[in-house]
Amino acid sequence: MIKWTLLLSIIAAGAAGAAAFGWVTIRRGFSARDNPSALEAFLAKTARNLSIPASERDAKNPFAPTAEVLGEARAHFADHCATCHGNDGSGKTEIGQNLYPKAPDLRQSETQNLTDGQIYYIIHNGIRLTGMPAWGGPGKDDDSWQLVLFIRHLPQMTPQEMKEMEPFNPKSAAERSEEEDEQRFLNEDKSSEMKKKMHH
Amino acid sequence: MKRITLLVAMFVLAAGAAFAHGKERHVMGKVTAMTDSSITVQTKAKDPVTVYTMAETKYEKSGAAASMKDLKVGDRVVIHAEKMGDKLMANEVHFGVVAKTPHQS
Repeated sequence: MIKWTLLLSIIAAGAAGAAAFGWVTIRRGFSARDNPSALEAFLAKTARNLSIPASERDAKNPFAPTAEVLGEARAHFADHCATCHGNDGSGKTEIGQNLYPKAPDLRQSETQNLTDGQIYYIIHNGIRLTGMPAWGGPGKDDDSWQLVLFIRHLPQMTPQEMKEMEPFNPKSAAERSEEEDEQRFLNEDKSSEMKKKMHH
Repeated sequence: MKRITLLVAMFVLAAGAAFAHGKERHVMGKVTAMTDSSITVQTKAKDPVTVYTMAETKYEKSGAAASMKDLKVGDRVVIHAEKMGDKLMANEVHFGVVAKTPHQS
């Protein structure tokens, strides 16, 4: 009898705790402006890590970080990932900072301490209820493994490398046109100087 | 069915509108005055525009990293700025001739 009472008390306390957590979460609203609470972040990360099978977590990257592989991955990252994560991986972009949860700084230990297999799994399969889509198709994909190497390289990125990524960042036709107008404007001094020289 | 289509269309339009308001304004013109924390630019169309600089402001001369010291009165400049309160704050300041950016298809 005492055992049953204890069990029911534990179940009731658990249900009350879950209800309180749910109530507080709902009362905070569903705006994407907030940051997840510490408890929500802990639960979400634990669930994510538990969802990755051990064989995937311990998988080894079939690629080596050669200049060629890193170059390809850099261009791929600029084209597919930088809109949210930024070319430097900081996540400090308009979209990245307004997602829920916000795009993480990939250079920090929270990402860098994950195994290669975990990072691959996240890129390939995405993360449910976040802004992270599943990039991989059916089966294994080489692009995601190459991106893992680039993410490992992010903490050592040079300004020159970041500059080289810019042409690969997605832009609308209007943005490209505006960029060309700006370049033309900045170069006008040079063209007028050249015209003057030719005239003399 | 029509209602669902309408709802989907409204959602798509709302999402478009949410991302449509770019916060940055691009100020293009010649530098007419400078202080330690501001750049005044004479644009083609309007009165002079004063943009304030911040510690985070990035400077780029001919595509390479530079500093405010490299900029002079009379230079052509393109400033990517954001409105904060009633002030325009510079995120990026570009000046000097630049090579044409190779666009990706």
